Amino acid sequence: MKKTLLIILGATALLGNAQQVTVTSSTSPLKGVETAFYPTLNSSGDKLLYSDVDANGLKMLDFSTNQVSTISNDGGAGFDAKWSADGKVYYVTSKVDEKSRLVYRTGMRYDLAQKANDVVLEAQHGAVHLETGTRGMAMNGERRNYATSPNRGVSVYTTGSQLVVNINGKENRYTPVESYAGYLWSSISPNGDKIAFFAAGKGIVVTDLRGKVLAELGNYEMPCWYNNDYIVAQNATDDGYQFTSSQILLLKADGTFKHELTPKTSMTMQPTSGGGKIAYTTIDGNLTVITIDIK
Amino acid sequence: MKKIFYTIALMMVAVFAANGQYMPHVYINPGHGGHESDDRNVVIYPFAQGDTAGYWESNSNLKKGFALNNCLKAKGYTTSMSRVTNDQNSDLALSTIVALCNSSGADIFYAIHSNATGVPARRNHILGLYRGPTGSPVIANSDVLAQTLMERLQVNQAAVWTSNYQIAGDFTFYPDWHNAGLGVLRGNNAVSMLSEGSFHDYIPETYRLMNDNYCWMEGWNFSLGADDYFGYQFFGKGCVAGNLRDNRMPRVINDFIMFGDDNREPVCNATVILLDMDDNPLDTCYTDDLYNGIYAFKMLDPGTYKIKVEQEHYFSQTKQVTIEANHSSYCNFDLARVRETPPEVINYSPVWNEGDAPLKANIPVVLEFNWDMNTEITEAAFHIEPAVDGHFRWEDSNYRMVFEPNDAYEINTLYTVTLDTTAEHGGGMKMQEPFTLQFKTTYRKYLEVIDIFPHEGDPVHYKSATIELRTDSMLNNSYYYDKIVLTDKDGNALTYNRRNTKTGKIGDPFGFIRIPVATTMVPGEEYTLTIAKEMDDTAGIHLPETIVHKFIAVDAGEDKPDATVIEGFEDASTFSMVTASVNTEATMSASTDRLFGSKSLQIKYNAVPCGDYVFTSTAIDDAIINGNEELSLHINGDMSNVFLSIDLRSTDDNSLKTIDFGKIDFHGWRYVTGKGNLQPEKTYKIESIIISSDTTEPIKSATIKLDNLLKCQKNSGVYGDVNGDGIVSSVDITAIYNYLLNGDDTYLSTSDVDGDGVVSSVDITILYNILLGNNSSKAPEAEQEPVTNTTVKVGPVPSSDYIVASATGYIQGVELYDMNGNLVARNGGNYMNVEGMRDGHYILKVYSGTEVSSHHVAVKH
Repeated sequence: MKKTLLIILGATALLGNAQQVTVTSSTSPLKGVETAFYPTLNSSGDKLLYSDVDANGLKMLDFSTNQVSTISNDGGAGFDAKWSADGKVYYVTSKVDEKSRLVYRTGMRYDLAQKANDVVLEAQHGAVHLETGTRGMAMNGERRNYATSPNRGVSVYTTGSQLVVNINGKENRYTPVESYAGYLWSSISPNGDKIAFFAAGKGIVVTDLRGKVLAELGNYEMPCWYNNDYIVAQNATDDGYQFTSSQILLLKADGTFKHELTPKTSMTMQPTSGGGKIAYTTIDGNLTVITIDIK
Repeated sequence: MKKIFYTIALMMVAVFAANGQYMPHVYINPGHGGHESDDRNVVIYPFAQGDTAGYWESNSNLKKGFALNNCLKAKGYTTSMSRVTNDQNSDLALSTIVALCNSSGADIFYAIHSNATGVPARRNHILGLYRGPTGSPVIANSDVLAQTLMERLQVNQAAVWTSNYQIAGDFTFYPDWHNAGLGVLRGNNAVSMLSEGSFHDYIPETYRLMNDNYCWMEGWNFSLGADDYFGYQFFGKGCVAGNLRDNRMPRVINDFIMFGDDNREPVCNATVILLDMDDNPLDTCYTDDLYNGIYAFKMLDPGTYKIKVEQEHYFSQTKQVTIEANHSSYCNFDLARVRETPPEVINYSPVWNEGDAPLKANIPVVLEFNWDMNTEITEAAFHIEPAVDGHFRWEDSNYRMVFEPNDAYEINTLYTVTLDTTAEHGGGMKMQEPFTLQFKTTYRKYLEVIDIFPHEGDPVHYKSATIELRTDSMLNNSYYYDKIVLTDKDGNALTYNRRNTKTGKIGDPFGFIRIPVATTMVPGEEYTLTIAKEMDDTAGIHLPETIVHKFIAVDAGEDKPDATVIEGFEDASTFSMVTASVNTEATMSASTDRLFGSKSLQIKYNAVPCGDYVFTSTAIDDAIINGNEELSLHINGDMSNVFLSIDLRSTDDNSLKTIDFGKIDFHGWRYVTGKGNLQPEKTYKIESIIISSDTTEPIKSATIKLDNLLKCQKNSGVYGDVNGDGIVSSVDITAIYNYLLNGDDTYLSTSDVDGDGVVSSVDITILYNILLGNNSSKAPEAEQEPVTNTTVKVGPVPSSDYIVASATGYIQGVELYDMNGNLVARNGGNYMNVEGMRDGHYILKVYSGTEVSSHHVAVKH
């Protein structure tokens, strides 16, 4: 009975917060040109990073000119490329060392103005985690680290089952929810007061800057902030070998609303958001950029 | 022990760090998880389907993952695992696993799986997949990682492999996936692969995968593969494992496919002792009770050891084994059962004594022994008099011998079975006394078929068809759907409405199975009903041979534009009984099972022992039939074998004529044209419809339905068909004789066969020639295709004059049927004159030798 009441209350809450979401525009800017995976919009939504299906190489699409430029051809560059607050691109490349057969990862920075890459973290063995902050950027390796400055405003990254939050140079580590396999895909809300991340086995979790859980949004992946109140995410299923469905969801950060931006059968995945745009790709790399209206 | 491993591990890490090298990080992904729909459950005894304690791929993958994790850690590697539990939450999405691996900084990634064929075929081998096309991995060295692992897994001699390992790129291996590849390798930037370690739907392997030690050994072998990939040979430990099997007893797991040594019984609950060379025990392990016979000793120092196996039902056995560092050794045992007494027959059948009732003519001889027997020698010791061709089957791991006659014994015969003293058990001891049994067979050898529907060549309404087999005894109701199969022209089986299948029961006059067909057939196409020889009755008596009936699907409700509807059978209240025989009754009611309009008339008829039920309607009473017209009726039959006819009375001379619609020996709707001889110059009124039965028929009741009674101009189209019954026969000659000799002018209008304006003996001669097949005056002149092979050919299609059949063999005759299955014309040669036929589609049946073939033909003028 208790359970039934909770379900009814939950449903009532969802109904009470029912929103109307309309897709106001939809384009496929690279259709017929090339496939695109791992899309990452910048905060103003006028530029988008993307890679190939295996995250090898990194390219940038400038929506203002519709020009594509190549940032890197290196392995793994597209997997976790991030925009910094000052408009630069940070990414990590990986390479198998011929002799030891170990994988070495290098921290890279791309300056759009100079159209030049430079190594900010020399090749090292082990994990390298990118930390995005409201005022700076860091790369945290197992051997060496790099940071644009000690004070990066509010920044966050995950390592194992820890949420690492750095506020004005002071680092705190939290474990808001249990997850054996670990956390992924952490990001700070545009207004800097909330964190969304993914906990394997749990799903998307929203916390405050002290790791206090504000909402658990469901077992979806790849959360990214659409605005201060909404998050876009991927909802995929598989048979243990390949994807059987995948769609893009719009979730209210307080957990009271969910909307399917694409149907389950669309095989859409890897969402990103910035500047009021949402971009995602499909299993075969058809990049789509949409805008939405929430009422 | 654990402490020692970790001490070694720390030392290794220290050595590598001192050399400026790092120990690799390995990401371990035990595939699937959660016992859900994307998991793989194989049902094996004693576990029920869905029992999480039974075989699930997620369980064995996790056991292997734990073992690999522990072995790698013991060697100093760092590791991550995607799951350590087996619940819904631990079943992570593919893109999550990839991201976790990348985030962990992994050097290599192992996805641990096992395989399944997905089809009834079985095999057991190892498969390694990496991302990319075969030979061009997306992540460099992934193919090398796969190669090093596959070689380490292949050394497993506790398994039975059906072939050597296979390595492929996932783009190549899954060509239909359009390079999407395996989800856990897509975007994975570690050197990565997915291993299908064996086939979990190969049942002996399924049982092995239930064993912790077996899974542990695979995990250990994975760790050796990682060592090989990185070039490490520092660990200094080895392992030994093996499989304990009976040295001769066959393994029985239902009808599952087994290969090689898996055909012998695994030995459960054995004690396996590791000894040093001075026979001092070092360690002990046990085989479990899950039918796999697996044991293992882990993390041994290199050297020579002894392994001793003990099990209460087997002779103890000891073998020497050498353990090498960083290797897996395998030492299998073939154990001999303890068989201390000579073999004897402890049970047998049939048990028959003089004076007992005789036994069915295909009863198997079953001898059950106190030991598992030497099959070859024991079969040679078996004798049966009189001699019978038969075959042996061994059951219960060779404890039970079954002799079955290939066909059946002779009827009313006394048989003597002897097993002489040369028979011996698996331990080599012979029987001390011969064994003898006798039995006498009954008069009955085969299951006798009373009737089958469809009969060969029958027209069958394409919708809601029903098939039926009737036999002289009650059928065995087990697995009969496997023995009675209906297929289309391409060999595809039609589906049955099994829920509504009816079978005979005690008290019924015969055995039967009556199956409604769920599939709607295609009018004009040929279908085949096959009833296997193995169809048997409750006594196990089977058919003498497989029965194959070909038939044609038709639309019994096809429009007949030239016909006039006399009675539509829409209103049951307009029907009334005229007369009924004693003990004969019927009820008439409306039925929605119809071909036309909204209703048909259903008549439930019952007569004991037989009788006529005569009825009419107001519409029928009003109908006038000309003598040159014929009547046709749509009948829904129930294979009751009652007869249906219509009586008409001449308005000219009050004479009575009966139009015969034949025996209701079919199921479903059929368009039937009545047979009878109305005189062309007269007119008739219908008196009644008659349902009658025959004392010889076992069925005394019927439920038939009637729809649209039609009349249309009579046109048999058969040259020489004087009486208009659709065929040329001696009756037609008699009709001409009756006119010439007796002045009977019943068929005067059709007796002038040659059309010379005179009915004479010449017309009789023409009919004789037709009957003898010498119909040259009407034979086609051309268009006959050359005979090229045994296949019957028919043409031309369409035709305006003759349709000719050709074959390598002699063609006895042809018959033309309309698409409702009514016989239109018959000819005793290889052709059919269709000059007088209406345009349309027909079926030509060709009788050639023992073959009957049906061909779709068309007439167009």
